[in-house]
Amino acid sequence: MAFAKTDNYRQDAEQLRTLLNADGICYWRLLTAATAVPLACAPPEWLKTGFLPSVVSEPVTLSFSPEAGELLPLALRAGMDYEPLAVLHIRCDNCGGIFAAWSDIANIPANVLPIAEFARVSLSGRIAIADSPEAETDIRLLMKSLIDALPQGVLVIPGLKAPGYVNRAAAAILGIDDGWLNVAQISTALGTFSSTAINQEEVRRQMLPFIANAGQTCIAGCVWHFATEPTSLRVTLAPTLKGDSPGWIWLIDDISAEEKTSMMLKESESRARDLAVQAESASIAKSEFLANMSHEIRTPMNGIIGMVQLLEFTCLSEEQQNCLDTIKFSSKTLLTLISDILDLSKIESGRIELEQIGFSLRNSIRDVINSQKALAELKGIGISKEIPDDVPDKLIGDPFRLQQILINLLSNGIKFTEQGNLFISVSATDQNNGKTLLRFAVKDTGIGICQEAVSRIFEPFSQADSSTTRKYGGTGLGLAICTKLTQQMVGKIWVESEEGVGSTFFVQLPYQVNSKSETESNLVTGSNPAPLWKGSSLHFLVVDDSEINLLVASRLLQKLGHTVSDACNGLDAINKWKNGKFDVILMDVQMPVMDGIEATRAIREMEKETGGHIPIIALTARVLQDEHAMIMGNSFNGFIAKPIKLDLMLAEIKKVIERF
Amino acid sequence: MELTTYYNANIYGSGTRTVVLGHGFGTTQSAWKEQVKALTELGVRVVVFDYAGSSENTGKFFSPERHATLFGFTEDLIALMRQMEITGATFVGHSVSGIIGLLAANGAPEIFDSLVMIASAARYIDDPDAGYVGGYSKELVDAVSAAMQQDYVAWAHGFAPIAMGNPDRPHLAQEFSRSLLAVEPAIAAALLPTILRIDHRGDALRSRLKPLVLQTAADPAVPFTAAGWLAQATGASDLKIIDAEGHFPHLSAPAQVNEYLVDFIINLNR
Repeated sequence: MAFAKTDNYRQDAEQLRTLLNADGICYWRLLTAATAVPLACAPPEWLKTGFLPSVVSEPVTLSFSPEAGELLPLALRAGMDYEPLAVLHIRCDNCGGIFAAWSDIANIPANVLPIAEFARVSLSGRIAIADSPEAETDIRLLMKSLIDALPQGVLVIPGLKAPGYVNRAAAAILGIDDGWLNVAQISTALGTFSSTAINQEEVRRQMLPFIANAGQTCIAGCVWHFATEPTSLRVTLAPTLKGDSPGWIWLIDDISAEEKTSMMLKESESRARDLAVQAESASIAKSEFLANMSHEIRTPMNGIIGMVQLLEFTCLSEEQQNCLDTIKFSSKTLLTLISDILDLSKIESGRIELEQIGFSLRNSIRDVINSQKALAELKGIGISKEIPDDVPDKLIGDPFRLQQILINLLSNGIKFTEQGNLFISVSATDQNNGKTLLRFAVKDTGIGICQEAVSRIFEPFSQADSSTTRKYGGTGLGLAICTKLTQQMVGKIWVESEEGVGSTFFVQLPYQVNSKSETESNLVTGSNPAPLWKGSSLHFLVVDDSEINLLVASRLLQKLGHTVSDACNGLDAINKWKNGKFDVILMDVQMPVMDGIEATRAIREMEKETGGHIPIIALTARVLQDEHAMIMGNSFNGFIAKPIKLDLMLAEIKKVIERF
Repeated sequence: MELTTYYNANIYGSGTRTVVLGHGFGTTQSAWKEQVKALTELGVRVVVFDYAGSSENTGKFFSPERHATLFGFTEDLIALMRQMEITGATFVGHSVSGIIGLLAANGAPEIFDSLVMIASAARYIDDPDAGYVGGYSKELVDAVSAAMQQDYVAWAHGFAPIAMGNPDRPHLAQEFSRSLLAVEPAIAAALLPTILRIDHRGDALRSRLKPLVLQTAADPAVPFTAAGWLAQATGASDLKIIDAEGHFPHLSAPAQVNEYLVDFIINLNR
């Protein structure tokens, strides 16, 4: 008979039990001099606890009742439901042994002793190998290197049955030695350490499920905070079960860096939010400033444009008419420019409204050149142009924006040229289907631009180099505005330049050719005879705090055959209206003492008693949509934007009167 | 193996009768101070010792594998007695030690011929099917186990006054908590749940000796019914009520305990 070679003690126990015909078999080994533990039993439940090994010198002892019982562990005896009449006690070289017990000695086989000897030798060998320093060392080394390689702190508390293990990372965090430590040391260290956490309440609360479930709940992701490094640890506690022995594994992650980063992130976020709020209020402040400035600037503009219109009623020589045309053109351009500059946000967001009207290309270019001629002549620079015949003249588009771009480029050319010429040319490409692609070129013999500055100059507020502002002035906005306009018109703008030789700015824009020969708008050229008033003469009350504006409005109305009285603020207006008999009131909105809205409201209140309803038309430099709505909602009947354009004013007055 | 050294065995007095005193959980031989005095005055040889794990000195002899059941302590006691060549002695055990004495008497009958059990119980967890009241539920024992694991010091401070009773004499609780803290937390955390989970009702029923059972009137650790059951199962010679409260009558009412002990021992020789 041969023992099957197997690593499983349980199978051996079963086999031996069969061979020996015994009621119980227990394979056991020594842990320490005073402690033996069962390896395997047949039946498996026969002995489950450790015991004090009895002092028996013989390797094999077969003993009979009553001494038999003495060889079996107390715990075993107490649990046996039969009296062991015979007990075989095998001792393996001070490392382990085997018990066998019979309830009936008749069951003992004749060859019990040889079998016992065989079992003893094989068990001795097996235990020797298992206990060999190499085996233990191999396993321990493997586990040690594995666990030490982890950046996570790992503490293994295997109940009480074995020493615990603390890896290097955990040892560093807890301030204890790493390696195999006894469980008490580890528990104490952990206890002490956790008690130094500054968020004690939270730590206790986190551990509650663990306690409530007798240490059988896994606690994951608790964060412990400390006053000293490491400042934040993420702790996970997992119960393990090895046989009946409960153990635990602690995993500790140093998340101090993570926490610092997330805190920094939160701080940056909150700073970014603060900055955003600041930026927004700055933007709001800017818009309010611009809105106010708008009013301040439009008022004198109103004066200039109004006076020009008045001058046109006078007798003018051809020279004077030409000068006046240029003043008109310049002031209109100036007004547009001011609107754009004051409304910078529109430029920045590209929300510029483009007109789609018929205009003459050659006239537009002529006007552009005329507007800069004086300045060029001062510097001794000539301006010439070339527009080949194949370039169409009648186009549909926004002539003002085109002129704005060309004026910008031309004035830049003049500015940066000391001597020589400026040359404007247009060429047409890609003509088909009534559409054409025009390429404008503005060439100068100026200082030129160095290669690396070429891209920069199209950005707002940047010039070729910092000395440019000092030498040549300018806001640096011109090219940026040109670029935005060009982009919005679905065009392209670029430059070719050589330092010391000159620059050529190119603008390429698509246009629709205007097939209709009539209905050419003459907004840009020529003078407008004032449209005459058809109808009875009316008595006007003009209310405005600005003398210039009063003058302009009064003269215009008088020219048309009306009579005019004036008032300088809302209070004055109410008095004059009460005591006078007026047909129409033109009421400025922004005035000191009492503004136009209040005055109108007051007049309407008083009208409730007197009956009657005098048409009141608002005069305002504020031209934003919502303000328009607000004005109309305050019992005004009409609305005229400043600077006053004669034809628009008359049209509005007419419209309002007709309703009455 | 010098077991007398390991278990810190001490002998006081002299006489023909030997009385061995076994302490309970959380205390050491020092708990028997009054009894040692009374018994030596009586002319008895008194032997005291410390169980494995009960103090710093004996901590290293605590074997989790063996001391996972009371049999481990019983084996130790038997081995110690055999080495000291003690036979036919009286064993007085407090609390769990009473059961250990009972197991030792069952397993090695030559050593003890008489047994006194003070505040002992064969099982602490209720067994409703058998109508047995131990005073604890399984959940409660699990909770105690976990609490001891989590923070032994806190648990010890909380447990001491409850187990000791006698709030008018706080020094008793303080001393008990001090001796509780002398036990290694890991050992205590394993041992007390082990004790609370015992079931030696079968062993009690098979008891070779008929013990004297002493129980206090108000013991938070042992309900009276458990003491009664024990007395009945072992066929006890007597069940005496000590008019005191708490789980440690030998500390809180030593005079009464001594009276009963002395009485019992005197009657032995008859």
